[in-house]
Amino acid sequence: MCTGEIYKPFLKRADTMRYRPYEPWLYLAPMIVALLFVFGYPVARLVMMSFQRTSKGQEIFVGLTNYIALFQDEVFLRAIRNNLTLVLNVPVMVAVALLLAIFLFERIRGWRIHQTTLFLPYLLPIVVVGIIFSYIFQLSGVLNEALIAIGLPQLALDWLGSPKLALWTVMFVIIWKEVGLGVVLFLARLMSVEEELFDAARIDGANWWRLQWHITIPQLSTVIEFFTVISVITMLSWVFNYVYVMTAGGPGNSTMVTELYVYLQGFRYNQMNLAAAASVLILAITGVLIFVQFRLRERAGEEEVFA
Amino acid sequence: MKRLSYVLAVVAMLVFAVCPAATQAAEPVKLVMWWWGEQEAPGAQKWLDETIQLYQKEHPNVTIEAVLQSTDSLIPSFQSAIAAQEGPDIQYVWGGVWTLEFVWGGGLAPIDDLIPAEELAHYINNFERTFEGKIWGVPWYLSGNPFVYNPSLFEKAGLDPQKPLETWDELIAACKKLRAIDVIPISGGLKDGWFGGWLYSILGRQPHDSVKDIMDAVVGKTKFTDPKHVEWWKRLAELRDAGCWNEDINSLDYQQGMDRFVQGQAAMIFGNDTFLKGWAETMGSWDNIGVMLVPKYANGKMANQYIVTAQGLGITSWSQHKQEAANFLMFLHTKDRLDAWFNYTGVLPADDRLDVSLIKQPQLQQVYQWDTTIPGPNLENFIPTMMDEQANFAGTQLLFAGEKTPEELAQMTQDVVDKWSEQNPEALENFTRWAQ
Amino acid sequence: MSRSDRLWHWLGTFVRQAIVIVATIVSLFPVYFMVVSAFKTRSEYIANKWGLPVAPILENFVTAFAGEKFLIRFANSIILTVGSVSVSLIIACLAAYAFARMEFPGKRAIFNVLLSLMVVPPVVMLVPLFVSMVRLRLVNTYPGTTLIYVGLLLPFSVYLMTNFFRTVPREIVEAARIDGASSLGVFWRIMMPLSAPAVITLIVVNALWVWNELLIALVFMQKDELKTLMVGIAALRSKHYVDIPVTMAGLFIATLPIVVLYVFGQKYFIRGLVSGAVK
Repeated sequence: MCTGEIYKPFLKRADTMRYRPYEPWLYLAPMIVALLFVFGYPVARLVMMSFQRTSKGQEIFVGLTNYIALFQDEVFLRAIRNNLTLVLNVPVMVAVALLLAIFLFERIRGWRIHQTTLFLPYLLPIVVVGIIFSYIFQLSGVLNEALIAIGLPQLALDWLGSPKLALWTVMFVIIWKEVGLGVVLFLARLMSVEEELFDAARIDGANWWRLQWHITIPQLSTVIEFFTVISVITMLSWVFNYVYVMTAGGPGNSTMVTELYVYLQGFRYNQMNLAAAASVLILAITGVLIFVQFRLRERAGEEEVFA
Repeated sequence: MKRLSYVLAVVAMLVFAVCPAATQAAEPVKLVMWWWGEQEAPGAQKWLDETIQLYQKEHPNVTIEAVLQSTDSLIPSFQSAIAAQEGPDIQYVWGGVWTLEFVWGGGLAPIDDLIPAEELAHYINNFERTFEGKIWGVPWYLSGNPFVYNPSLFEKAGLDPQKPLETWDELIAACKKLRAIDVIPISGGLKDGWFGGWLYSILGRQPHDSVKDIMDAVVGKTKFTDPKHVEWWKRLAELRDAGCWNEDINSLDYQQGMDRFVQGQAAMIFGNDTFLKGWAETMGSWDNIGVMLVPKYANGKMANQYIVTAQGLGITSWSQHKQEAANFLMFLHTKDRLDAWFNYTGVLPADDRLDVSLIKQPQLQQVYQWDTTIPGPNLENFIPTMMDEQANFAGTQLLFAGEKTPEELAQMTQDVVDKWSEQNPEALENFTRWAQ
Repeated sequence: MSRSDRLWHWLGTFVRQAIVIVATIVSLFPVYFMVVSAFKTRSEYIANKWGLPVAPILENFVTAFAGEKFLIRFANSIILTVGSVSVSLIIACLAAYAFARMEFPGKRAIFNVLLSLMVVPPVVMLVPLFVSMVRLRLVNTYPGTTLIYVGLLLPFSVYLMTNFFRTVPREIVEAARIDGASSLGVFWRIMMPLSAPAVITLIVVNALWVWNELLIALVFMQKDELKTLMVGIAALRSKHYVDIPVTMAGLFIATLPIVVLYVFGQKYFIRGLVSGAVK
């Protein structure tokens, strides 16, 4: 969904403005109503459904049956494994984005144009990107034609049609699309670092690597952490569109992800209760991650205040 | 809740049965119809628009709103409507399990009491919509699966364009000859899955005598690992190894696979007769299209049949205007509308009152003859959707990727069916009752 | 600098330049592929997949426009985007004002819940949401779908605006207070005018998201005349005849508004996406 989330810790200072005690709630009311409708009721309903099954038109309580069934389902386990594999994207994305941001920051020739173009993929609709890449990665597609033309036919593989490769191809596309955000974030942060820091290090005779290691990366640490967190969340719960458009979960379930699993169980196999249980698990996993992130931020936030 | 809605439905029907004329004349009625079909029978939209106009002129108190669904959203939308017990009055449904899963979910009402028996008798393929003695929808048009070939490519490869292939060996030999002139023998696309289900229907049937053999395996009386059920995987692997298929079958969507045939790059395709007219138009001439039955590798009774299913329309259980909806569906089956349907789409309506003399092309005449003399069920309509997607869709992809052997795939199918019966005790029960 | 130093320096620059150029090419290639294919005939596409079109044609755009009711879809996307972005903006600013400038019991807890809502994937809520939308007769309506988008946009919007409102200097607010302004007066006459940059940023980011959204639009806007551009685009895949150049022309049209917006408002795009992370 939106990006740029969950970074800054909640600020603690209070204002001195005077207002009546009920006033805050007037300002909050529209938001609370909208959120209860769009999130509150659906989530409560989901939790309820996940412990039920339909039998003879009645919803009956079945305890953990649905959850147990999920963990016995090869396809669901595959989906979870695939989501976890997608998390491997994150270090690659961070590394690539970091490298490119540093190069651009060094005012490489045409860096503004490069920044603009590197960021472009992030803006494109996933649907559009997915369709374009489907044609590029077809066995008889553009990429393979190019590989054959330059004399590398052994590299012309069935990128999306082979169960061994499809997930990696999807991962490439995700990196392709999401890395631009990292570049722009890192670059923006670097530009707000005081030049003297770098100059001082250079005068001290630090070489390029030491400069990055001792100045750049520490300066970027909060942004890197932010980018890491939102990327992990993306890999775990925001990849539906990629898979839906490019592979539909195939070949042979090799690119099945949890969101698609929920969609299929709920809307194709008519098993709303299993879909609900799987949804609750996805929510729980992302919830735990967010919680961990909060705790980390809170601790880091305290340090910042006193630094 | 479901039981209550059934009771209400029955009450509503009784009310309508007692005083149909009175309610119709006075009250304005709005019918909402969610449909699909333009995708496989181009021209359907034009026909439906015209039909609705005519109907509204005849019945000024009725307005009909037809919402064309996309392939991806057809089933999800209706599943959601069932969950909410609100939505359209008329819903498009494929035959067999597609209809019955909606019935079991409490989404459709029986139509026996809404449509007179002598009218129903004209409809083709009602059996696909029959469960526990009731009919749960109205067939609309027929969709059959001929093995389509390109006669001019056959000629180039030294095959007799007049003589359809009959045996499996002939098919394999034809593949070799077509390969020799650098033509894709059969084209297909498995990436979006659907074609895997078709292949099952088309090839999986041959060792079996009736669809009951399949349903017995679904409900656990027999196993999908039994030799007769493994056979089709082996035959498909044989075709793969003989170079019969386009190599990029796994990276193409179904439509892209068909496109190879329409572009003249492939000589044969497991097609759908609803597309024939459109293909002929794109390819410039009916001369580029020949139809045959699928060459035989086994001798079950179903091997001699032509797969045909009736795509249809159901009336929803929550509709407030069931009788009006049924009246409209009967209007679709009036003589003038049937003929117009055929003229617009080149697709055969599911009704024996079509003016047969309208069918001019020998290919369509052939299809019509098969439809009426040797119709056979579409297996995909008699298995759970989960088995179709997780075993057939996924399995064919794995077979073409060379990941799994036919035996492993049969085992995989059995595992999926076991899982399905465990996750869905109620669906299993329904299936068992249906299989009887 | 010694000669070898200079050589190293030159080599380093060269390597950097090369890496960045390669990255840029990889970033642009799919877009390039889309654009050039959109101007090719079908047969030229088959013969010449990645080169520039020899004889560019515009027919594909005409076909794409005609076949998929592009103008209607375009209008639908605009209606939904404008509606949900503006409504969510108003609601978010009001709530953010309370979070940033007032104290009330449960503030922290509510804010934390809000943050965690940012990561809920919409697919998991589809079923229950659909049920309630049908009951309220809001399926296939602009207000219904707008409402869902508003809900989904709110967490991030509130968060962003809260952060921004916190940076408005206390002195300004207090000065207004002394002049006797009510809390609404402060909101309207001080906070909002000062927040123009954040508001623009938010508009840009949210508009981008709604414009590109597929799943909600697919399920909640089913009528043909209500479908959005993205749904139309996704349906291009399942047409009877696969005409890649026409598909590409359609994609091109759908992408164009974003690209134009980006080129003209690059500053806001980047600032918007960065604002959550960098002060």
